[in-house]
Amino acid sequence: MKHLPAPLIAVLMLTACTERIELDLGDLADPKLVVEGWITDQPMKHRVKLTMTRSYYANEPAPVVSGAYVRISDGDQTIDLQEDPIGSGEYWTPDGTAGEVGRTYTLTIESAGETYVASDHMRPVSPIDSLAITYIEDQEEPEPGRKPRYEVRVWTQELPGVGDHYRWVQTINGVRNDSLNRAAFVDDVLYDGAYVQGVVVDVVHVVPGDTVRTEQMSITGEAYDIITAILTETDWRGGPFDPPPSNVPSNVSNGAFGFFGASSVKDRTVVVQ
Amino acid sequence: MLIAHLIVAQAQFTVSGHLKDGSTGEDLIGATVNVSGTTTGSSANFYGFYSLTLPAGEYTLLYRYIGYAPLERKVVLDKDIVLDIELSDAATDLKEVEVTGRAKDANVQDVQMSVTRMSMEQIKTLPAFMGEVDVIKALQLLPGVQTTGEGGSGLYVRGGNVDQNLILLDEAPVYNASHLMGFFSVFNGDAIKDVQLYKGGIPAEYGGRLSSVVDIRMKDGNAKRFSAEGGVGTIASRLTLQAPIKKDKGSFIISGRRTYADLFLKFSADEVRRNSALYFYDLNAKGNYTLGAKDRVFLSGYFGRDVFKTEGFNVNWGNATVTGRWNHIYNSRLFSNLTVFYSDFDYALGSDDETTAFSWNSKIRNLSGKLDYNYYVNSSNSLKFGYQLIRHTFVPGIISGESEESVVTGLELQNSRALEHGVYVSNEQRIGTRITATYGLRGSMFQNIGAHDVYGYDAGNNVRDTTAYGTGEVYNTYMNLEPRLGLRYALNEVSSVKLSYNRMAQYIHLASNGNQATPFDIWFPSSPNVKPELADQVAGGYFRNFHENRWEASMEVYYKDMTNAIDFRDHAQLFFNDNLEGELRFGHAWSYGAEFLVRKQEGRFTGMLSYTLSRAERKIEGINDGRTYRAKYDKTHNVSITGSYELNKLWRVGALWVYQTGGAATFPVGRYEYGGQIVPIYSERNAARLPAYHRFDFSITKASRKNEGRRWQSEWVLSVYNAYLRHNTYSINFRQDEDDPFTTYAEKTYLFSIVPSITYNFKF
Repeated sequence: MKHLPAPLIAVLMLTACTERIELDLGDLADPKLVVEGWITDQPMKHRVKLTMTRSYYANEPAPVVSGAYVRISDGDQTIDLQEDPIGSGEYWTPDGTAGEVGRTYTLTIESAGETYVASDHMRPVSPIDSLAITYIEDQEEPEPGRKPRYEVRVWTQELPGVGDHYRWVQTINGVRNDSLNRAAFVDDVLYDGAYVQGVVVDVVHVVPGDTVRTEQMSITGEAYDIITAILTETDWRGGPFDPPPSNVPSNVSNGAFGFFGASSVKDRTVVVQ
Repeated sequence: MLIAHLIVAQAQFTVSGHLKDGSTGEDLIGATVNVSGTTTGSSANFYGFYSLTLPAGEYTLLYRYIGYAPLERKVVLDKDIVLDIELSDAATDLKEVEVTGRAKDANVQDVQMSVTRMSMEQIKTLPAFMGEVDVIKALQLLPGVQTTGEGGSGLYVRGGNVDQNLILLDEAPVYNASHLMGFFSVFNGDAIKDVQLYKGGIPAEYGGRLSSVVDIRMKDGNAKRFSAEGGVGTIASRLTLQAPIKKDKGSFIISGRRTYADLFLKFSADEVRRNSALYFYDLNAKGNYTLGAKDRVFLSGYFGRDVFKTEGFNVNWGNATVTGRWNHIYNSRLFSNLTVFYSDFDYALGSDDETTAFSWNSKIRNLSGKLDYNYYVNSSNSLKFGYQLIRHTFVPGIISGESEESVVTGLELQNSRALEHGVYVSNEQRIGTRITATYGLRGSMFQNIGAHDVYGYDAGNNVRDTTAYGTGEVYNTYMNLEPRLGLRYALNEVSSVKLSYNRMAQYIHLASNGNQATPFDIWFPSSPNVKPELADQVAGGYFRNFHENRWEASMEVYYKDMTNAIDFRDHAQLFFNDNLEGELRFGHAWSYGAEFLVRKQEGRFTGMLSYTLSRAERKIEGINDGRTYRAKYDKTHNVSITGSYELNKLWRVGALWVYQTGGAATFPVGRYEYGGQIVPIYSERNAARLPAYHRFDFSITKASRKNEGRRWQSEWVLSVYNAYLRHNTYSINFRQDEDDPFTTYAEKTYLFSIVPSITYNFKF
């Protein structure tokens, strides 16, 4: 709840118009490493992606960082990540690697003579007791080629004690969409210890027969702050109450951008009726 | 010889009384009385009271007020006399010949600098946005006052932030002066009599804010006869009724305004729209009664609210103020006023969605008593002294779930209570014929009162410990001495130079992080973790009148230094945060500038030219890597030109042009990819600028033909906002192209192109 309710902003901006403009922004002098990586308690291949920053108007994908030495440690053991394919900037743990709730994971990257370190703690998350995908009544006819809108509702116990943060990610017919602007995030400041009864966590475009898998993930307060900061600087910009533009914090040392996070995951799958 | 001189000097008598408008009985605030042909004189205080002490003798006294025909009275002063004077409106009697009386020359004569008084009559000659006459928008045209952009009723005075203005309505502070997020202000022009803006050399009777005082006084009500006025506008309608309670003894005024755009929603075919609401209203009421030659009481109130409701969501906010006053005249030279006021600003947000239903309530409340004395010692000295106590109550937020199913368990942020004391004395002294000095001292004290848990912070702004204080316990006290000085040196009859210094202390602050101030910003008090903000300002100026005082001109320069300036850490969390103080960062702010003003307030043509050259910067640890950065309202150049011309008895035209350097903004230099988003990388805060803002508005007013013996008067007003359709930048945002997510571009948002409106006004 960092933002004012969208309907209010919508009304205030009723008469607002926008137009594209040309602005000379100059060039970024000193490119820096960008880290994007997560480890969860699910046995799988976990990915760390390394790229570089660019000038704002670069208008092409970020240059990847290849040939780095990347490893993750839980304090007891260390796993090396392999770049695959070579030259992709994507580094993977061996298949079947699973984190453990309660441990702190430290990512170490050695690249171009510099060392970067980031760590995050894996917090518990409660199971989804029930999951419902419900049709939104009175909706307009979907655009051609677009499926109608359904709400994703979850029933779950919020863990007692303020300080829990959640993220939900949907996989529809096997396609997982974890881009930040598609995912739902919340902290428990207003909901501490509540039994969550059918709260809408997302809206998806599906038809009966589609399969929806919802992952309920724990994230740390630091991850929550960084993710909301990213959205504040991107998708959420444009309202009358925007805070001053500021750089998004990072949990990676040595001046690098990005975030390495740890999550525990509970999931449930339903077929849309 | 010496003895004879002393005896002569002792034989002094006082002429005192009230200065009023002859047709309505309204007190004329600031009207002057002079011994004809000299600069010896006095001016009416906020209650129209004046007192002038002179050696025994025969005098011709000249009473003057802007827009009114001057009046001369011969008096024989061989004892103290009471002389109540009624002046008549020049507009009704003397408009055909360019006003014969001279304008009041306070611009040159008064020791007070950095002050502008505006009468509602002047404000009404300006083209108004959507036809709604707006006090705050008029103040924004004055030199030294910046805005944050389109709409926006925030005032940024001489580099001060929006919370550094003490906005008073009949002495009660108004904590949020805007309706509809700032497109309109809460002050209904029909109920307001007088507006004064102090931006420097602030008199000792005011305290509690660093940068300015906006002292707004409501009309007292017509004491002569029943009158009504009103208007039907594009978005709102107004009605004001005034009448004597007993002729020349007491009167009342009641004035209301409501927008009605939402009334049309009721006819909408769409059910959601039918059930929506979006409106605001204002209600002003005031009564006064004279209890005898020495006592008069006043009771006034303001109630206003904005309401917005749509399916599943509602929000409302509003101010309420109530002021009770008692004027007492001890004798012809000692006047007192006791004020008791209550002020409340609150907002509520809520949702009735079944699973997340909640309500969120927040408020700030003041209760205050204030006793002020004016002591007219002799013709050279006039003394003011007084004491004020304010009790502050802050309720930053109570959030609760509103249904059985609601997941919201609730949160109650800690309330805060505090006492703010102010005691002051100041004297205005004439030294010879050329010099007037004013010197005063205000002592202020702020006390935090329990029950409250106070957090201690470590170097990283994390909570280190908590100290609990009991109910009623004074757990923290701050005291400040605030000297106020002013000096005027008359170069000749029509020009003077002035100097001033003021120190101001501010104990309550606004957590407002956005580009625009909003009703949801949170007021919070100084505390063990938040030191009072302090400002020292020096200003100097040259003042000159031309053409028999019809034209006033001034040039002022100022430098203001502010310590314990507050800003918020990057990505601060201001809502639902019991640990708000951990989000604050403290440092140093300063501003300087030069202001030029030329204005003509009387005659068929009236107008103003205002230009400000200024800078406002700050340096705060933890923000912009500790380097100096510009305030968002730092605008190098700011020009306003206004004019109003009465073509004949039926037609009047008004025009307004403003130009401002674009506000300071932060643009990205780099970017990176994360989670499918292209995240900007910024270099310096506020190093870039938005495009310049400029706009032309005009209005055409057609009055009804005046019939002798008929009281009904009416007029049509056509106002056009942004007549040359400039797309002024409201904000610039950086976006990802939807079709090609690796392409980013800058996008300008603008709110209005041309906005015409028509208003019909009447009075009888």
